[in-house]
Amino acid sequence: MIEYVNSNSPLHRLDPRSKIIFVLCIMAAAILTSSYIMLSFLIIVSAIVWIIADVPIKKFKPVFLVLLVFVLMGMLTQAVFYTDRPDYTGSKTVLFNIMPYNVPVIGSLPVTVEGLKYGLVFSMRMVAVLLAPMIVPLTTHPSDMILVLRSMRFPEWMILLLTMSIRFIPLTFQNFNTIRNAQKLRKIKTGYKDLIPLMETLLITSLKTSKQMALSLETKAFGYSSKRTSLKTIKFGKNDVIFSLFSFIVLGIVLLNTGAAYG
Amino acid sequence: MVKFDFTKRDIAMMAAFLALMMVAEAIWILGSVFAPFGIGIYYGAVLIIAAIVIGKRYTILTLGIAKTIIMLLIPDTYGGSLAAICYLIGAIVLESALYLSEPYAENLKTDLLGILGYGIIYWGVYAAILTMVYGMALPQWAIIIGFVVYPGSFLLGGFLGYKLGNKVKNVIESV
Repeated sequence: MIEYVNSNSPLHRLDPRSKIIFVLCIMAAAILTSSYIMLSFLIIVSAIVWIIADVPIKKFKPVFLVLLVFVLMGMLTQAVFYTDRPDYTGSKTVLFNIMPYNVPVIGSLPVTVEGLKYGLVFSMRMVAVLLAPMIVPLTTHPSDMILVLRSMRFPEWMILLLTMSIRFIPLTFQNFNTIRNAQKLRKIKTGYKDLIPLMETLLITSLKTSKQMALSLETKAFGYSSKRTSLKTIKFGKNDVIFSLFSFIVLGIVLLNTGAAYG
Repeated sequence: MVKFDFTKRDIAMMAAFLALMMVAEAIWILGSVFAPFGIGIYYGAVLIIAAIVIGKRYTILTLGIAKTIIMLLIPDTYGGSLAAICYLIGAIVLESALYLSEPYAENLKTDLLGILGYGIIYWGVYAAILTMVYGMALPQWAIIIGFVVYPGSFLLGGFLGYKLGNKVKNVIESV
């Protein structure tokens, strides 16, 4: 799971709204451009922001491995499907066929040079679209996100729901492991048939905990006062303005070069 | 005007269901071939159980909105933050179906119809985002397979959820 990494980097000190602006700019730019150079530029910008964020990249090795699998999958699928589209009118340089015979409905699945080129563009776009948004949960404490939602005038009960669900995630994993271990202790081998009792027990355990939580909210008189205050506050400062301007400049650079398809 | 009338107990239970929906992302370790089946069954079951156990109108819509907000902040594995819209539109469809049943989510037929609609819309919107926004080339046969796999697995999950939901509701009310 992608979760908050405690640090005091410049990114951590920024207002979450400026990071959301950055994400929106990078995503818009990645969707609008089909240029290798511009997509590489976006990936490099995101990578630099990752470095500034002081996030231990080694910790996220599995995330990057999944990303690599997606890149390869994206390239392979587009290498086959891009030139197979009914509206495709360009050239078609076949490298090899995945299927030895022409299979009904799916055909022989030819891998083409044009498809591979498009696959590279598509994969780069997906990497850019995924790398930038990961910055927000990694560098923003959940309590700051709650403050953002409050500043956006979300109802208090919805904010409570989101806060509690975030708290419930590790608890659910913990309950899952406890139940699974209990199942393993009773049996030498556990199979698919054990999944339904596991789910049932997990549900009941989680819901019992939620009832206790609701009771503690009542005893603490949660929601008694209509106006809520917070020790922490968020402020869109000078650094946030600079970072937002930087984000718009990145978007502007990409937009100015959008016409150059395929670099 | 939509009026959300939830008690603290309902909100706490919805948070538990939302967390159960969030941990579904771990199913992707099954691989891209089997994961859609697992995700569909699990999601379908959790949504219907949530509707039965909480038993109040707009439960699914609220879960859909909350899930969308979380997925906008923590992007989905494939499809980025934009894929979050699938959950919201799917929830609107399921909520519309459950809205017709009285008491809420207690009718098997409307539950299954709603969850089938959820599956169709979920895949439809997801495929539309991948092809129209990100420019992914997907052949027609792959889209059709998706329209069979996702609604089918959601339907199976919905049926399982209906069976489990009533059991869980009885247990929770007794403790």
